[in-house]
Amino acid sequence: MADGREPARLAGVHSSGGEEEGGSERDAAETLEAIRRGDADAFDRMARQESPRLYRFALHLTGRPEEAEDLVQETLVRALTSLRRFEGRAALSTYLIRALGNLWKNRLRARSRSRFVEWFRGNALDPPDRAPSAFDLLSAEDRAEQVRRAVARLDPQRRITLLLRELEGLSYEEIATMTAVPVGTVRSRLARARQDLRQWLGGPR
Amino acid sequence: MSDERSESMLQDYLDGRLSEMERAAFEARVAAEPELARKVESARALGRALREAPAELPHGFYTRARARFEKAGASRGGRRSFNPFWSAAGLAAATLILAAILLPDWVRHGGPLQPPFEERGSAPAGRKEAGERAMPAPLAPSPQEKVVEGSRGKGAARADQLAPPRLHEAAQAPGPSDRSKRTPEAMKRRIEGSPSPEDKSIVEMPKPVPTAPEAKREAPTPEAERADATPEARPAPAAPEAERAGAAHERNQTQALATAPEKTEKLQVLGRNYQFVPGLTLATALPVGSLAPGSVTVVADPTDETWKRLLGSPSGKDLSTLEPRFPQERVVLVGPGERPFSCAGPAIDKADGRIVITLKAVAAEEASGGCALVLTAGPEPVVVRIAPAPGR
Repeated sequence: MADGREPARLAGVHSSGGEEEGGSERDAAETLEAIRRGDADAFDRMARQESPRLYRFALHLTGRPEEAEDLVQETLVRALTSLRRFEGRAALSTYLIRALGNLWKNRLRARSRSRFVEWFRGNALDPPDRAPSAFDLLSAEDRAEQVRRAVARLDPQRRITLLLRELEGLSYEEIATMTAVPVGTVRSRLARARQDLRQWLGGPR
Repeated sequence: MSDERSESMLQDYLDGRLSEMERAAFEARVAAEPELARKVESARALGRALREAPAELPHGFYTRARARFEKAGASRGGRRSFNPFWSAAGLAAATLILAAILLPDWVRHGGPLQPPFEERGSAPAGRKEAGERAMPAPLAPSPQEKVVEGSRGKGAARADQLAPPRLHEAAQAPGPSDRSKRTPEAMKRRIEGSPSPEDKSIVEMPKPVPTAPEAKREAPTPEAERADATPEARPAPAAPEAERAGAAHERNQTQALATAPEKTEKLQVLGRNYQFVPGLTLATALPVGSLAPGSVTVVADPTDETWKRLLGSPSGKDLSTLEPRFPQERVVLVGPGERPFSCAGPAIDKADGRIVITLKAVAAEEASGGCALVLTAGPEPVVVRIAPAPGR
């Protein structure tokens, strides 16, 4: 942690508030309290609110539906039950994404004693960037699939940086805080990630 | 404008980090330069594709999540039901145990946490000094442990990668036996300077099996690897005079595994580039120097033609991210298999003097085209298996 504070106590990165949100915030705080007491219904409610966003993030992060599901469930169970203080829904979202990212990094670290990389997909030796790209002509679904696969090929640090920016819309500074690196590193990782993807997806170099 | 500067401007433009003036200038450039316009559009399309990519939660997701929460809750049950009585009782018990450890010393030496006997005659030890002497002892490794740990040195993580965790516990005793050293008796023994049974067990680790000389271990020939891949063809290696402690440690692990019941059946060579393990789907272990379907290529040298070719390929960037440290490490390249497999979550094991990599079998549409794995360099042949994923 760059600021040395517990993630669970980090104030909201995004602005949040408003009277209308007050009730919802109170509900969330009560739900979290119930989760800490072991209330499975409360957990279920919170899981339904947070899972779709977390799953999308995890799916891009891991590139595998089973792994993404496992990661999200593990994040919810571990992060929600250990959250000591609720400081707003926006902070909770950031906290969960951060927890998911940390969990994923820990898993990667555990695996990194042996480093594995998948250097191309499909039963062919031609790397995808050799083939003429028709990325722009693809249907939205196919394009999404192509992107998902390309993102899964990115270097893990670049991948998480790109996803925090593109999916979560975090600023460079917020990403830097979350990943505990300088803003300049965030900038360069983002640039390299986009360059890699452009290259792999056949866009302009 | 240089490429780097242009790229930097592009990033800042996409992420809204340009000032009004810079933004206007950049947009003017975009209007004038079709290539730049394409880059901008491409980057935006990428962002859109990411955000719009369908990410439907799998069927039954919430049921499984809830079950997981309940299971975790059951295991945390004791912690949740906080009871002041038990808390106080626990504190009292801990105090008693501590007293049991310290009291005999206190009575015998005339005060708390005295220094060792030979220093007792010197100036009285202050609390801090005595504490420094007594407290680290339970956690400090014995001389024998130090040899093992020292041999691990910088390569510890790499040594870890090849051995199943259970084996490590047995050989290095960092886990359960470490905890056992913190029992009152063990702590007392430490304070008094007598060896513990755990220390003895480390002294009496199995003797290393003689192996080939170091030079051979560093760079095995393809022929040697091929021969080693078939157990019946594996010759008994020659004994070197001096062994590095790290290598000895690794051999000890190998030996321990060798005494375990054989899990794999005898390899049968069925084709030029294939070796199959009956009962499993596939095993290949030939350093064929190519990426033929079903092949496994072991690269131990950066000048290897295969490696150079792969690094030189348009997708070379992927492989370079592995950053192998030759010659301490080697790269195992697994070509596309006849049976589809996934590179995700490989299991790596060491058995019968071989490194066994197990890849998950998957549906064809999920299959990886190939994998590259960095392992510690060593004489052990590599076997790749493709096994069905265990059911959920």
